[in-house]
Amino acid sequence: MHAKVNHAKVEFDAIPGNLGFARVAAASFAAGLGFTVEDLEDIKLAVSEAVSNCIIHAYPGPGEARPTVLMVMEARESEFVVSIEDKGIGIADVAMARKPGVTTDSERLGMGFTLMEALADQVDVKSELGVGTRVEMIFSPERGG
Amino acid sequence: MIEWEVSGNSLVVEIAGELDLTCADEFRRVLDSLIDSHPGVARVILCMDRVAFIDSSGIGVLFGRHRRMALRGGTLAIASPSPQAMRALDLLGVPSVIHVYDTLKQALAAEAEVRKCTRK
Repeated sequence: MHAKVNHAKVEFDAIPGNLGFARVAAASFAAGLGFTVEDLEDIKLAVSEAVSNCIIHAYPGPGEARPTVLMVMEARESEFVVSIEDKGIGIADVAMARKPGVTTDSERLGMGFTLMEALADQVDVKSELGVGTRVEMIFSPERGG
Repeated sequence: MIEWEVSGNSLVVEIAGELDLTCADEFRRVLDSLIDSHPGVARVILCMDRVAFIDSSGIGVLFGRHRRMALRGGTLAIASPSPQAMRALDLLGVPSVIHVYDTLKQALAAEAEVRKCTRK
């Protein structure tokens, strides 16, 4: 268990216009942790996939609450941990959703989780129907990725 | 940002910027419009050296246009992808489906070679 040495939390509307912000915020936070430029590009790509999933899938219909995404970033001794959380409809079958090519939309690849798993050292997904979904990704500078 | 020109039998499309969910629908609409307005071209070459970022939303559009060109007997190729774009393309196995060339010159030369072969 690594000690938490720094953290930041940001909540934003679940709209496509915030994707670039989320990517840059995560990469900026991780920039001082020993990652290469290529590593930071990988972090941006993984965050983009996770936040896109929230925007596309978590809030399919009009609801009373304002759809938001909570991104929590932690710098641990030798890791960068980022979690992306929504309060949306949840995922009925997380194991199925993580399989390559599984999508609810024919216009999309269904490769978001596959990319996250290829880019991060560890991906953990917790979801509850009607409550929301939390994706946590761990990146290490020396992963050699 | 998208710019385009016709070179020989190819429609060369220069793409710049970030291709994610924010602009995927617009990207798709513009490419489809370009493809539909050039029924005579056999090949679409997407130049991606000025693509600063692409994720699976953007790559999904590429696969869709690849299928669209295949349906009319044509092809789609990618030329000079930026390092970030190449990383994302590799991770999603794009080069096994869509031809990826290091340079536009190579992509155009390959296209000319195809035409030479089909004339024999």
